[in-house]
Amino acid sequence: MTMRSALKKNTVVFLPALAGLAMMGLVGCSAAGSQAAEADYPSKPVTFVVPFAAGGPSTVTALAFASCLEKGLGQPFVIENQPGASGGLAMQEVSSAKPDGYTLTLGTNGPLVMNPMINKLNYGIEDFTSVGVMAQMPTVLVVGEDSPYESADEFFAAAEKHPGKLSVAIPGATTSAAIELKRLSDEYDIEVTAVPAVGNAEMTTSLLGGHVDALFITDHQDVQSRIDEGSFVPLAVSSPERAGWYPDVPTLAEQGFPELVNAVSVFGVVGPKGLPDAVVSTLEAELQTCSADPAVIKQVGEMFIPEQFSGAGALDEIFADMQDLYEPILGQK
Amino acid sequence: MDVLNNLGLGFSVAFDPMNLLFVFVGVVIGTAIGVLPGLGPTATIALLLPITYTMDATSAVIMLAGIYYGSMYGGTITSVLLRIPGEAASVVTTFDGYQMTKQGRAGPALGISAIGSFIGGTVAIIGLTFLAPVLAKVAVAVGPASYVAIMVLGLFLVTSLGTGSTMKSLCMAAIGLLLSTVGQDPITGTARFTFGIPSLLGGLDFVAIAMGLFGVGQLLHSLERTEKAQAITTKIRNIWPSRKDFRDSSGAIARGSLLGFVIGVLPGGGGVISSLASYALEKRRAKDPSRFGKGAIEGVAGPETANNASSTSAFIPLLILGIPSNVVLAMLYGALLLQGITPGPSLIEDRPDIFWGVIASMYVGNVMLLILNIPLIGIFIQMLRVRTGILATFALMVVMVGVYSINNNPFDMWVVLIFGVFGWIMIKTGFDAGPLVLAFILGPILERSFRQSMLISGGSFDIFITDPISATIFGILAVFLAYSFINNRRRAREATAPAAVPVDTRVEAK
Amino acid sequence: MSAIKLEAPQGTEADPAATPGRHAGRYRLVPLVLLATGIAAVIGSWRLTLGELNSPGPGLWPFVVSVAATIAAGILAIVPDTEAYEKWTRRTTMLAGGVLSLVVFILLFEAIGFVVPSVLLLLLWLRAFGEESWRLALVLAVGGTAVFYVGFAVLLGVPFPDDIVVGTITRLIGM
Repeated sequence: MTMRSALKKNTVVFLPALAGLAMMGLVGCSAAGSQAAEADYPSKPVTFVVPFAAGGPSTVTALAFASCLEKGLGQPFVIENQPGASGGLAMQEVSSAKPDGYTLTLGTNGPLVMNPMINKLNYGIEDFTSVGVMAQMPTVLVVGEDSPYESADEFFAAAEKHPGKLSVAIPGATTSAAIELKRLSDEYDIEVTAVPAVGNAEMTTSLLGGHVDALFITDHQDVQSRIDEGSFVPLAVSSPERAGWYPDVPTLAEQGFPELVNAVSVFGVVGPKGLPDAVVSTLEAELQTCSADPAVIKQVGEMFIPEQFSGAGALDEIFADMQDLYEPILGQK
Repeated sequence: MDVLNNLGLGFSVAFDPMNLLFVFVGVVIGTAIGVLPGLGPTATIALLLPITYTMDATSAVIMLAGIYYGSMYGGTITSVLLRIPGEAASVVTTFDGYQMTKQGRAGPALGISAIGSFIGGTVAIIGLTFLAPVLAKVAVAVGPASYVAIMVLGLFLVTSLGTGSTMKSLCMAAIGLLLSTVGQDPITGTARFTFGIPSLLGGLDFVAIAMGLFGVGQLLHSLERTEKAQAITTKIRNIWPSRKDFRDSSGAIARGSLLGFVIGVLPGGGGVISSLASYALEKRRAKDPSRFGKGAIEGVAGPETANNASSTSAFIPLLILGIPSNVVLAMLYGALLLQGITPGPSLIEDRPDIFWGVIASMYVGNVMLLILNIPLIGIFIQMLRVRTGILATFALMVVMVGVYSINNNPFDMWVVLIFGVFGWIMIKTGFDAGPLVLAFILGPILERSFRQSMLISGGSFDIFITDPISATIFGILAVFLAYSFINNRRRAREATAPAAVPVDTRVEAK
Repeated sequence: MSAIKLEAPQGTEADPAATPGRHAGRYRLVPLVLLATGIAAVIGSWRLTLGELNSPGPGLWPFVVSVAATIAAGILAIVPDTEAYEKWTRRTTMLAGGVLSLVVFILLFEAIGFVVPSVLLLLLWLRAFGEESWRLALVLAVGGTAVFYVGFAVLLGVPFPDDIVVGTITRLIGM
């Protein structure tokens, strides 16, 4: 009696699990095959740790590239979401993993560069080996469709006139967006009130509901579709050059803030310190191929994959620059 | 009618044999993972995300949505049978559900939850079909100031619904709020109360705390008392709710459907607030509120209904505005992005097949869940026939493994163990875990919105008066508090003799 | 914090029919622990800096909350609430064993993976607390472990720590 009911309980759990297995099998079959890589690497599945909860842009980007790398290198790239400690846990784990190329992670501004400056964590950028850039997303200043400010000029003029009166939602207090706004007030004496929110969804809500005056938001598909449809009006972008997809929107630099060109989220591939050169170059080459792959481009969004691929060296430089930039503002080391 | 045409299109999508299969797979997986504590819809959808993007977009969303609302049905089962709430919204169900099990009424408790869930879910889908655009406006109108008011209201409900004394509930709610501050400050990122432990930077995990306080606490408590391993079998009276049960809970189900539907639109705490509000409402309406916490069937029917209604109406902001209102829906959003589809205001025109297909599939999925759950209740009831020692041992292992699987971090196992010991002490000393756990969920939202409000208003409290929603809620709260204060004083003056029956004496069934 | 609470039960064992007046101390134990926690948190949040209302610091909210907790615990410590208070019994010591077994389980789980600690924990609980026969306990422990492993690690892909048993088996089969 006892045993039977215990079994019954288990079958209920097993049915869906079996369905899941069947589907995983299907996926596995379609992904396997293809040409093998030149070198020995990779000869077993690669774990790719994403330092955020599943569902966000980071996961979407990682999944898109993982399936492409998988095709190219003949081994599964398994995405493991490891949120917690704002990505600190994932980075800590990867920094102490064996540098054999079978544990990689998504390196980006917050978890990799800023987190160790704010909190005591056992890693820094020097504990990682860069491989290459997957995607770059600028931050864009947007207002609602019935905002009184129709251009960046009007917006900044109003901000200068009434310091601290305009509220601008940002994706969090320890993001490059927050730092740029802080520098806007420190270096150019234009003060807006930054309202840290959690994620694009909350920011979108607060602008649509008229709770804040503007957003300084990481550009992504959702922002794109709002701009296309007219409920968001872009005033300025944070990248050094104008963005190809908003040719009419000025950069902050053009608006008279030449220093403010750094609020760009970089999604790079990094591994633990001491990754062998052969592994780095294999991955780097494949990453470059993937960043031209139409399927990847469609999933990540064509504007976010830089036309000019940035490899290991370039990514190293990007992170080093970020470190230099944020250290005086955040650093306490 | 335009809507009916569109719904016709939706049903033609939903009744596609392949999609029917995916609805079925979704609700079955959902029920199963709802039953497994720890492994909630979030973790499951994360696991399935890479698979979905080889599927057709509509089928993928239909299946993932099925997992989500299916898990709401499944979550009830462990709350009622073992006092292990798998997710926030079913914490409230443990109050009366577990008491009903102890009285041998697990069957009616589960039966009424399944029926309530079906009605709540269906009412919400009908609302979603016809009222979605109107409600979407409400979702956006709720800004930081309104949130402060809603969360204060929620906390007020939390402290008033405990079974123990109000002071104990207040104390536990404050401790819950305090525990929720562990981790990084939501605004400045400063580490608070983390004692240098990196795993604490992200805060304590709700599921780990809830399963520790309720599940493990209860298991330790029963461990202490098992005289000789014995089954609860003898106490199982009937499997199906009686006519009286239906009569008692019909009002609760009707009110729960409406409450859940409206509150579910709120991003963030919608699910919990709706079940809390429903419980508080039923307790207040009851002729004899002292029955609550001791196995009142309305205390199970109302919150379960509200919780399912709210999980359905939570789709409104996602489908209409492209704003995911909780983690699970954010995951669904990600699944759509992977398919190259950006949910947003244009979804309804660009991809009516997805929009209406998903809605239609929810009607189908809810019917499937009802049909699926009725025989399942019989099976799950059989679980109680297993000797307590065996049941407790396996439940413990499910909790330990389940909690590990949330973040794949053994740290959460420690959290569950420590809170298990706390939970056991609380049972021994008559403190309720409910207010603690619920305050733990509401706390961070309250803090964040309060600080956002203060930033926006430049430190002025006027913002709570100028915001219409917050002004209304605070107004009602003030009137209510004044009324009950005056009422209490009058009663105290009238009844100089201690005529009042001690309402909260809890009879712990041994 | 946990250590304080863990010790609480062992000190006050089997105290029959307490009257609130004479044994009020034990009803005060939990409120006093909570009071201490509250005060510690007040100090902790003060040190986090409170900030001002128009720019609240990280400590402001924890400060408000811990003051509330301290007041509530203080009231309970002065006027203890005795209702729904259960007596400590001899079997309370069983509980210490149960908690200890879980501590060992988690430590082993991190060190040598899921399989061995799971069999041991299931066996212990089934045999010692469930009072099942050795044979049934062994069958359930091994069978249960297999089901859990297949369900979570294989089918759901939950990454358990490296497992000595599964690791050895796969090496022997040569996978």
